[in-house]
Amino acid sequence: MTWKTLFPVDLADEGRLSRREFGRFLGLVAAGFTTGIGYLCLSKRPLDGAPSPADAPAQLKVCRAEELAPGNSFLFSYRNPQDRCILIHTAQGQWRAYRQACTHLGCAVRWDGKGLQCPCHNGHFEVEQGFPTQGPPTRPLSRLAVDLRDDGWVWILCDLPREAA
Amino acid sequence: MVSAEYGFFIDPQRCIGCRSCVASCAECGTHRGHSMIHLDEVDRLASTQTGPTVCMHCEDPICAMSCPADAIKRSEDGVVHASQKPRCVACQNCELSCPFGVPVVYSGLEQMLKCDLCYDRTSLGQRPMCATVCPSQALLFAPRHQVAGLRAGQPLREFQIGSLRVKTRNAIMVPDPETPLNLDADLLCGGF
Repeated sequence: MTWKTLFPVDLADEGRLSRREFGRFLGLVAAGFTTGIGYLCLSKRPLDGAPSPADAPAQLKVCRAEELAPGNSFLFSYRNPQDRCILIHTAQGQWRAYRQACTHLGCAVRWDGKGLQCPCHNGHFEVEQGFPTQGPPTRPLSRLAVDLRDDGWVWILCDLPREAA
Repeated sequence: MVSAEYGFFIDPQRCIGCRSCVASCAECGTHRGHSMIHLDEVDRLASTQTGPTVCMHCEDPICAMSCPADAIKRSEDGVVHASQKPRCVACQNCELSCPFGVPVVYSGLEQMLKCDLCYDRTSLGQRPMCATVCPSQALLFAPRHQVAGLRAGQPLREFQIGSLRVKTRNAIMVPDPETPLNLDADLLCGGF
């Protein structure tokens, strides 16, 4: 391949794509879309890790309440090791638990002392109910029910139904 | 696309040096106030003869081949365009390589601009700006088959410049071989 082929003088030859190459590209993209959408339809699982109807309530003992001082957070896994969640003890003494997956593109959100911040696109969620307050996310975080029991342990009871944003 | 039927015919013998082409070229909206035509005085002391130089649109454009940034392109109709702004690095290779001395790198723009046959006009079937204003029609944009009836002489599209043989889209009108050239070689070319 000479430099004249790589850098053609004629405008028409620049970035030339044969019909066969273009057809192959279209076929691959179409197959990829079909497979991906088919998988999502069959799994019936939202991308942000929210529970599917098949998920039964599952109780989990997370940590002792005195281990988590007000204004701090604690990371844990809920239904499986990939189901990353965050337990928050707010400065006002409330307990909240959310899935870490940002409802925009699934990055892990983190506790910044006031709310939940997603570092990928600077999204922000308020801690009370997980509603988005800033950035690209439009849906609330997937929320878990927290129970503080008399024996001093913090329990996760189940997924809370998603409320309208 | 510029019709292949139409050609640009330059007849220096008809040029009267009025500079209308230079002014009209600069006025064209796509040229940003710069004229792409060079109007040369052949020998100002001894003669009033002038000659306009527009891009000849070579079939093997040396400016494009010498461009290290791949910025000069030729379209399907054989028109060699001015450099593409995002690519041009203003290196002046094209200026130095062009056998007709057409491309000019503008230091303020940091870009080479040259005659592109008024592509915005000719691709829509209109004539280039210079050809519309030339009062003596030294610059003629016309169907090729009509030229024989409009002009004496023959269109020349092949040139030997040193060891370089250049074929062009545009043509220069030269006298018929039978007609003796009425040129004072001693005067014009210094005795060569």
